[in-house]
Amino acid sequence: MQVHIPDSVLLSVQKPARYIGGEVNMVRKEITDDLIRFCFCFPDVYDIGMSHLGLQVLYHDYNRYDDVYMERCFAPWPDMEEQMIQHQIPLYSLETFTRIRDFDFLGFTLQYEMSFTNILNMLHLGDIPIFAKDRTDDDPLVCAGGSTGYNPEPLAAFIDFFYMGEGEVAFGSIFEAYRKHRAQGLPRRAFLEELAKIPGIYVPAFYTVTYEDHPAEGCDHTPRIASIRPNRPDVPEKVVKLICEEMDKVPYPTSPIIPYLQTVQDRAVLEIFRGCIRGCRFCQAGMVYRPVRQRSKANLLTLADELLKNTGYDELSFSSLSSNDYPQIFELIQEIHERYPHINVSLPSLRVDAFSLDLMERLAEGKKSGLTFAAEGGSQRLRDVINKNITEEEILNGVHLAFQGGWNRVKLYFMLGLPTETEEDIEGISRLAQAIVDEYFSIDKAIRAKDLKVTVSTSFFVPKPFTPFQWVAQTSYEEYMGKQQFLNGKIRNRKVQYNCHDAFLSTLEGYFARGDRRMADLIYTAWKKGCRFDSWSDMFLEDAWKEAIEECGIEAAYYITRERAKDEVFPWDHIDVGVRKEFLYHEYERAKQGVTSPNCREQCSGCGIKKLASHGICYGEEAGRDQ
Amino acid sequence: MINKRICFSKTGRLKFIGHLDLLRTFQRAFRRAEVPLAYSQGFNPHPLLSFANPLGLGMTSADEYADLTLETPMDNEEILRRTNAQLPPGLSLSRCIDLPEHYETAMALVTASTYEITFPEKDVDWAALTSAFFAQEQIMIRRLGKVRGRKQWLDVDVKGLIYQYEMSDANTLVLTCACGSTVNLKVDSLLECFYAFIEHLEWVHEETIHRTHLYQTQGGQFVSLM
Repeated sequence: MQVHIPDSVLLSVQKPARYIGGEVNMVRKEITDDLIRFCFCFPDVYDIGMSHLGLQVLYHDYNRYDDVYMERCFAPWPDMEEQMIQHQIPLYSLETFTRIRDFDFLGFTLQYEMSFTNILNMLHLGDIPIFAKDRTDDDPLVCAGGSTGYNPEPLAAFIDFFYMGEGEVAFGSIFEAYRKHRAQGLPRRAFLEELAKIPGIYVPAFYTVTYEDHPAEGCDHTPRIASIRPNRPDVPEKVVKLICEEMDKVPYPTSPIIPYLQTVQDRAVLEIFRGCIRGCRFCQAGMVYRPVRQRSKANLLTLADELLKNTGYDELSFSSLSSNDYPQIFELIQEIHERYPHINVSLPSLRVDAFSLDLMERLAEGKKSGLTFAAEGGSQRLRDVINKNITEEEILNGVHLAFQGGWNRVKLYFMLGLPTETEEDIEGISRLAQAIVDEYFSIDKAIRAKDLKVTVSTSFFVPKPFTPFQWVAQTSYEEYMGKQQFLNGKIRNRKVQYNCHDAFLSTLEGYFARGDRRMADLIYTAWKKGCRFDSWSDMFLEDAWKEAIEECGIEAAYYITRERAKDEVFPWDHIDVGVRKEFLYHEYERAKQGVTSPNCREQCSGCGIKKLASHGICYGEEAGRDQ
Repeated sequence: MINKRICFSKTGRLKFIGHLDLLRTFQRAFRRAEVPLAYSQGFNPHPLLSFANPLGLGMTSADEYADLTLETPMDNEEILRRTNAQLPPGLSLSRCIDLPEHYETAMALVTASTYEITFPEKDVDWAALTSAFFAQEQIMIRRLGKVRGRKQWLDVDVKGLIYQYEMSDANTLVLTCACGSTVNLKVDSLLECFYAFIEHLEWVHEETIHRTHLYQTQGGQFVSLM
């Protein structure tokens, strides 16, 4: 059914362009009965969702199939939601204004925990039963995937099936199975049974979680998980993540949809490689996106040509977890610069050294934007614990060169609440900021630029699944705030600005990051109380969340502040991302000893990822093949 | 300097695209079309492209203009062909002409425009209401203005800015009014004022507003910009 949106509705909301589709490069198809209709659902507002590279990748990948039509849907901003409810407009897709309950599949992308209530809200606005168990053959199949989905359990009650791994790999098999299923007219359950046999697919209903018969140590009533086992003989014990093996053969969206609205990422984006060689112990992306796989320079240049030609963007951004680690980054930028003198190239995640400063100067053509250092820990000891491979000397050398080159703004990012952190480590943050200020004043007035500004930002460390820190106790809300206050008292220099914020959101994120199926009640209760857009500070309903936690009996002592035992059965133990649990524990022990581990380029640590690929690719081998 | 003026229409869903977004949409379309727009000099170079008059959000138009400067020559027909192939549905160039090296910008030329305002089908005598409204001695609207550099709400009489009006059918008002960078009447403000005047109807943005002409003044006459 097509939805009609009166102009008067669109004219009464902010940014109506969020709700009309029709952008350049949007895919149009004729609607026929045998079309498989898939709606990509981004559980946040259009401006955020359209900046997500994964959406563009899958959109163009799935729309290559003649009999598949992937459309898009975003969470309506509350002003539009109000209008939709008032005018009884169900949630609809932007391509054809079809209500989402008419689709065969709805696919939610999971990018951050604080988007979970938006998923429930979108299902509700789409007139689709919230709980998977309540859906019938008339409802769409609701699936989800994305980096936050590697621990699918908090959402297990709401999602029919999860896709584990990179979206380009197995949807062909899913559509194939669906064609057969539809031709035979089998019930939904039978299709899910078929799906569960496809590698990478996790159907929560086919797995049973059992709990111990007593509360966990130090907890009032919450028992630990005893086991997570398949409840059918034909589904795998472990669902293994899917990866693309050769990046140069993976299709790339060189005709991305170009929003009319200015979005967060309003530029052409080129993914130069996947994975990260660094192995920072707090970083989930660094573990779950393994192994490192890069596109060849020749391929990237071709893709850049097509991208710029098809979009007309005047800015090109490279996407990766650490731009410097692309072996031919300098040549790549040089060549793009020569071909397109009017195009700005931007590099996120750049480490600062003489080489990259030279690069930045070149890129910005004399414009000096700020320098950013993600030091994460305030002392060398703590940086060794987290395996963050940056030394104070490197930072100070970097800023020294930068100040000599005329830069005057430095941003520093740290985390508070890292494992083993002491007051001395926290004080190290203010000492480092001070050392940077001293470095600036050590340079001759005639050379340095005026008005130094050093900005220190801290976030709160939340332990994530599939990292060496998945066992650690998360810092409590009170301790987080105490640490922040302590640091605030130490930063005295007027040149240094400290950005701090409330920690409750980080605590909440902690429940979901390492949460299990018992979170369903909490998410549902909070949503019922009106929570949505929780990652937007002006929308965040702190009291409603606190009430919901209380009512659902969710124990912080269990989920947040508890150090997990070595043999803990994690809620995500039936998911295999390639990196072995033993490796992660080994890394955790090295962390506690303050011993760093080499990066993948220096020496293989045997994390286990090699077993995922058919010919055991990893960084070294692939680089060898590339040359 | 190679200067051109283009005339284009903005229809359909594109009415929900604001002025700045429209500017970026055109810049990208010209780049995709490989129409060689020249860039400004200076710290933040930007393509030399400027519109005659911003169209309000929610309105369509058959008669919009923009001036552009090219780096290298290109035939006018070629510009139309290439650009139209790259514009999204709802935007379409109809004409392109050469401008001399020194010219008055479209933005500076605009003095008036004509709108077709179609009111919703209701049991309402729109002709009687509009003529009563326009027959007032003064038509006061509130607008944000500056008094000695400070922003504040001002009541302004806009009666003198309304040049012509007639009902072309029972629901459609054709209105010609001041438009441009010196004197300008915002149709939205006028409608708000109109609904306040008739009191018993709430303004819920149900009318469609279509700009049919943008004019410059030549010899006391309103004429097209190209």
